[in-house]
Amino acid sequence: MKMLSRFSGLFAGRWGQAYAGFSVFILIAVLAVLLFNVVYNGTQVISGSFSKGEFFTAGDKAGMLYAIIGTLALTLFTVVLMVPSGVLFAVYLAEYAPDNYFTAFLKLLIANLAGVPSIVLGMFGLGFFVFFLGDFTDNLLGLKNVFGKPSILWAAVTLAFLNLPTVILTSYESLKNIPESVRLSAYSLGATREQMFFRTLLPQARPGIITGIILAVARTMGETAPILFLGVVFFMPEIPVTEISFGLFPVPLINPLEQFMALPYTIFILATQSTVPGENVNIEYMPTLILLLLTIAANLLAIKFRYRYEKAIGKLR
Amino acid sequence: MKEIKIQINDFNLWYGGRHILKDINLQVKANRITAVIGPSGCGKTSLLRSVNRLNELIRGARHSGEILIGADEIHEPGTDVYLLRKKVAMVFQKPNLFPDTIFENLAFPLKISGVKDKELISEKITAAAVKSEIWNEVKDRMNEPALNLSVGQQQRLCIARALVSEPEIILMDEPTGSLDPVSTAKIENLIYDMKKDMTVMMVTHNMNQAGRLSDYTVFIAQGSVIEQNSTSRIFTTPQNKKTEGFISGKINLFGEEK
Ligand SMILES: Nc1ncnc2c1ncn2[C@@H]1O[C@H](COP(=O)(O)OP(=O)(O)OP(=O)(O)O)[C@@H](O)[C@H]1O
Ligand SMILES: [Mg+2]
Repeated sequence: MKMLSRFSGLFAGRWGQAYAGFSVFILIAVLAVLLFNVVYNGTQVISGSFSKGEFFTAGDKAGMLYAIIGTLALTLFTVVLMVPSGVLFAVYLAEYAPDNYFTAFLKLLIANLAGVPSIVLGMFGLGFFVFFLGDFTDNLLGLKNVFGKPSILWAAVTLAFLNLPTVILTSYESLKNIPESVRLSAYSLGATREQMFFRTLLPQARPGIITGIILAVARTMGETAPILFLGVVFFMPEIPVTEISFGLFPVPLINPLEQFMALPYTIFILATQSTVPGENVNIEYMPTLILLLLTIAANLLAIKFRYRYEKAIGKLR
Repeated sequence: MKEIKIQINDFNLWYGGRHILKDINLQVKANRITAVIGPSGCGKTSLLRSVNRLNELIRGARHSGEILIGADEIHEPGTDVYLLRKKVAMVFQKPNLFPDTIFENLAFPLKISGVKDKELISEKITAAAVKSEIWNEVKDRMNEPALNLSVGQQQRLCIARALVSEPEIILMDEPTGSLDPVSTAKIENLIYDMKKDMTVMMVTHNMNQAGRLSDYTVFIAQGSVIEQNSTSRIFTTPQNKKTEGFISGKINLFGEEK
């Protein structure tokens, strides 16, 4: 409270208010210019490439489809690895972990993991997952260069590690924020620990947990630096698909052991290394707009869940 | 002499290193209302929570001595603590409904007991809601959020929810502590009617309430039972000077003498 009042003192008075108003104005103006720029140029390029039939092709002709599929596949694999382990870990920390130094140490570790620069984690992914774990798996199975090379799998594993702290910390907070009286209320009615958790805590924490997951997903989609080492390419003639058969039904699935295209990397290359100067100078607006739309969609979802969560918790206070 | 429902023998409770309840010996008579009074922090809530073993959830809580309900010692190995808490229900000072519908709140105790039969569920929650005199106010709103009700209604719904599993004993920790006079009167009537079916143990800070409602009164100070007797005796001819001081208001809620 003291901090807050001192802080708000900064914005009192005429000059303070003018300063605050100016800051808000700058912020909104920058956002508006950014959005307008990307949306205007992006829609121009997209409609152009649609009319020329280039949207679904690959490569520097601006075919975006493979990059979209690549980003979605990478995100999907990351989510599969990150969400169950992250949420379970948060549940352990919030509900089961004893109150001791080891638990405090674990929390510290997670908070620190959240601060590791993504490029450092990318290097770690290459060194540890690809060259160590991948080669090790290959040797174990008598294979050569199947697991021991950069691929969607190791990129997803690395991105999962990168965003795991977000999932863990938000899930942990939403569980811990539920007032003690709710637990007591369930226990006093004869609930077991599991009943208390699954019937009262989880339903209340769910919107908060989902918010964390969606934010992590949005970040995963936009992450560029770590995947540089982990199998992202600018051009692929086709999407690597393997058929996995579930009984009688063969289901085509993207092969996670292959390289991939991804929107953020495509933006990077198109923007920095245009092969035909002048011709594709604006093409990078296309993946930019698509990526922006994907992340905005994810964030809107997050806001919706956050709103529901606040409403549910607010009434308890 | 009325049958004894709860018998507490040489009971001690510690939170970590702090000795909270000291050598408690206490009898609670069946189908009677027993009021527990005493200065703030003397251990009334802790005593109540010992009877349904809710204190076990507090880290570092230990106890010695025994608590018998009927003939059964509740700490005996093999005691089903979840069944115990269904038979010894509890109502708290602040209503503590789940942020869910009215129906889900009332059905919770049945659902965790594995009751699936929809008709049985609706029969039981109706009976509990009627007894708690909340039925008329909620019967058409079963699927509305419970937290939309007024605080007084919420507290009566909490009582209804506690009655759904047909407890033998109901522990009430200042059940009207956060309510207006009208809601308080409603709940006092409820408590009075509950004697027919169950044993009531009630903490209150309101001496008038204790005098009006209870058959027996227990006075606790600093974790020890100072005096227990029929309410009329305690309020007219207290044996202990501390009791007299507390009831007459010469000793305030914080145990300080005026
Ligand atoms: N969870 C806890 N951990 C540690 N100490 C506690 C805990 N709960 C209560 N205490 C302590 O135990 C003592 C008895 O508390 P208790 O809540 O039983 O008192 P009370 O008589 O119900 O008080 P009040 O009239 O204010 O409700 C107090 O000194 C309190 O500080
Ligand atoms: Mg209390």
